Amino acid sequence: MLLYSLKRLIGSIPLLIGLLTVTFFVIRLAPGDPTAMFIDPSIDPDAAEHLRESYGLNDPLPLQYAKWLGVAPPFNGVLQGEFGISFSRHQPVFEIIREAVANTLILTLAALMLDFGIGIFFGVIAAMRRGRPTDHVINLIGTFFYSMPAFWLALMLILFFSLKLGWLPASQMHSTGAAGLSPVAYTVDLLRHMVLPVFVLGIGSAASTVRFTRSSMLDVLKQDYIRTARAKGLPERTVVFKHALRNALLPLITLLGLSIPFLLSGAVITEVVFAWPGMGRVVVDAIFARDYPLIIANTFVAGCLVIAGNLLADILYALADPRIRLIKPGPA
Amino acid sequence: MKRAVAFTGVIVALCSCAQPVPRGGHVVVALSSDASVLNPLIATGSNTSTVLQFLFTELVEHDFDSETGTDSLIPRIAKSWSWSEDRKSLTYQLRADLRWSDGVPITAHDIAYSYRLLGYKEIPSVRKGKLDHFVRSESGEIDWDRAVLARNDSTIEFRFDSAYRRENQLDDTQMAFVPGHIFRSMDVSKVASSEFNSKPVTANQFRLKTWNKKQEIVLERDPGWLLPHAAHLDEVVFRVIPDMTARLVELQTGGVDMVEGLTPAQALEVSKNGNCRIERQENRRLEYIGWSNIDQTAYRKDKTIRPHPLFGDARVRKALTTAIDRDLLVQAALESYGRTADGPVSPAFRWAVNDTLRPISYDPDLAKRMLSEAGWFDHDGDGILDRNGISFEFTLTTNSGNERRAFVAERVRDALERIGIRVHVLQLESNAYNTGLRNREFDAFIAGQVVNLGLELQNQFGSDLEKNSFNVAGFQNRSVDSLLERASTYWRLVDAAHELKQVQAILLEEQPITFLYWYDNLIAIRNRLQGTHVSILSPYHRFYDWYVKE
Repeated sequence: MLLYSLKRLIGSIPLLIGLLTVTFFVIRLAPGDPTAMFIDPSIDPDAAEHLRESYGLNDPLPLQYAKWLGVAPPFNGVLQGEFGISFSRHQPVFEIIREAVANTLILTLAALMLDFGIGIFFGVIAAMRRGRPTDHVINLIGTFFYSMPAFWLALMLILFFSLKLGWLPASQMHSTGAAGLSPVAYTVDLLRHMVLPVFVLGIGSAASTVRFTRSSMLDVLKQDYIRTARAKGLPERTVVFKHALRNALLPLITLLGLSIPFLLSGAVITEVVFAWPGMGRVVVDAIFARDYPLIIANTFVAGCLVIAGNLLADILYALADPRIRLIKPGPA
Repeated sequence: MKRAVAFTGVIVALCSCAQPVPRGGHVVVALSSDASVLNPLIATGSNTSTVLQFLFTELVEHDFDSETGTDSLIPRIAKSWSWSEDRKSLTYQLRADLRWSDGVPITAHDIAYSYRLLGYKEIPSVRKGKLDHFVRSESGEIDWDRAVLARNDSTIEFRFDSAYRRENQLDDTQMAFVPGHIFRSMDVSKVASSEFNSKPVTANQFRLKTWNKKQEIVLERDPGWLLPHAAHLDEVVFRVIPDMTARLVELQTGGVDMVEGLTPAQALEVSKNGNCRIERQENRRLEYIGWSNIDQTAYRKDKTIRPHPLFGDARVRKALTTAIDRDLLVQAALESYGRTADGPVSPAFRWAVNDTLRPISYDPDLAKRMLSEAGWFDHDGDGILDRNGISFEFTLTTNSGNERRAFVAERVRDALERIGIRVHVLQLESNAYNTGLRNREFDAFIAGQVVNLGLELQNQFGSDLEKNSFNVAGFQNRSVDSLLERASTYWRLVDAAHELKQVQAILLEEQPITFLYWYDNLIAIRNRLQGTHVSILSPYHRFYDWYVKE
């Protein structure tokens, strides 16, 4: 398995370089410019030109690419691990990403737990109560949350729980002055700020996970080995949770693998509405500012996560299902 | 009895006046986005400027007299200033008792080195224009040995290549500067990404306490800074909240004390909350429709200047303005928070506004007649005017995400369709829109600007399009050029009033752009925050007077 993982990781390097190269050219082809904001009579007319020169944007595109890659002087590019300085924030790009990653992970991991926790739990119940009122109610509520736009749900929750009831904060990770609180009070403050964004982020995906789990469970419950388990007189709880659920979860592993990139990039709208200082906002701000180095670094992180997610899904599949072997055994 | 009541009233009033301003506490200001860097040399963006004005001060402080409409200067770091006889040299005498937030004395050498840094090509700064008039050597490069001279710790002299306008000389020598002792030993190529950008050594009433990126910037009072007096507040916190709804909820629930950039509808809603008030920054923000006066395709191709097929004729542009009911537009889009604009000079500059001119009134019938005189008729009966086989049809471009401009675009489309002009409205993402503007890609566009207080019109209306890049409409008028040229030769700005008024008269006739309105920057403030002086200069003007009334 280790060999398989290594081969996959090494094989993905050209894929990543290809992805970054495409991104490099596509963002430069898109309309807009990192210096576009300087069209203002109160700013020196030559300011944009000065900045373009400073950023190296006046070089011919092939030379820009060669410098970015690190195969032209000063030989300090992506191949040397140098992704550059952000145009808009004047910081090394990975420094910016590192600051935002932890905040996003707090949010998205909690949302992912909510997603799979609620999704699997209610999916199993819906499958067990197929066609009964409980199934219909779960289905109805799931459809309600699934079809609701995240920004609208977020605004409604803010207006109700923050403005109307005053129970929960409307934005950000912490209250003003939280740094001076005791560790317990600080954590409580963080948890209070997390409630609304985590709910918004997790509930829509949970609705889809419910449908997925329900469908998968119904398939498994029809299998002969479940009938055999019941015929053996095993308690229904054991049949469902030990025999059926483990098999029904196999397709969810794919879903989990696909969710890994979401951990760092899937919370854009929620982060903006709730002023959560995470990766989503870094990406949005970078795109609007045409901050090329930061966009490329974000693409790199997202690409790595997709590769890691797929690899993780394959490994989990192999661990969960003994019939799957990642590398064919050689002849005996 | 009446006398007794009046006397008691006077006593109460005197007592309340004499009450000392409460000290301590903190206020929270909402920002729509985080500051980029806290280095005034390379900083960009309005939110960054907002934070920087609390951290760095300039040699002098501006004040605006709304009665006379003139800008005055108050000594701050500079005690006094004077010009040489030939007006090509400006010398400031500095106070000797000021220190950076790290305790090192502030000297003239800090200022000289800041300007020197600005001159390096490695420093990505939008402020390099401040160096344009600095004295140069024969090679054309700035002669740094003569241009900015720290004569001693408290005397700095700037030398220029000409005796250009007084206000512009003062403006070019005002810049929030950086501590030389931090940067002198630093490789210039490292300045733009140095640690100073996020942990600055500052020079103002407040210094940086903490900065959690994309969350909040906490400033604390610098006890060593007493100019003009110690700030009343202990802390000013800037919280980054991108979404306006969330900002307003935070305002109404007490999470923040100040939010700017409200729409009129939001202002009306907030004003119903007894804990908040609305203040206005008036006459600083202008919005207009730009008509491409020249054929921009030809200009982009080989710099040829020829009239635009639709908007190249001043009669047509004037007809378009006449066809738009701007007063109704102001009423509908801005309610009581704006006023119709008739020219580029802000009504705040009373001495410079040409009030003898008769503004263009809404009259669609007159607009049709004016277009007929210019040769535009509906020859083929399709409801659209045409001339020489060209239909009067164009795209009006604006940026997305601006509800006010989208509303105006729709109203203008309806108004022009009523006189036989077909308008397509296009909304572009802001960055793409700005790039398109700069590249002169649009036939017509809705744009806006925060007007500069130096009444600089050359960049927007000067005919030389290579030099005047903000003349996006491509307006060409030799009389305006010579008037602006003459205006620039006066030593004092107010002496140029006659020329500025003549320029306004020409612009009214030529209508290179249709001036729409001056709209107010609406600022919601919780009543616990007192002592604010929202002015044309800034919503945060004289922030050191702010205090908290619990």
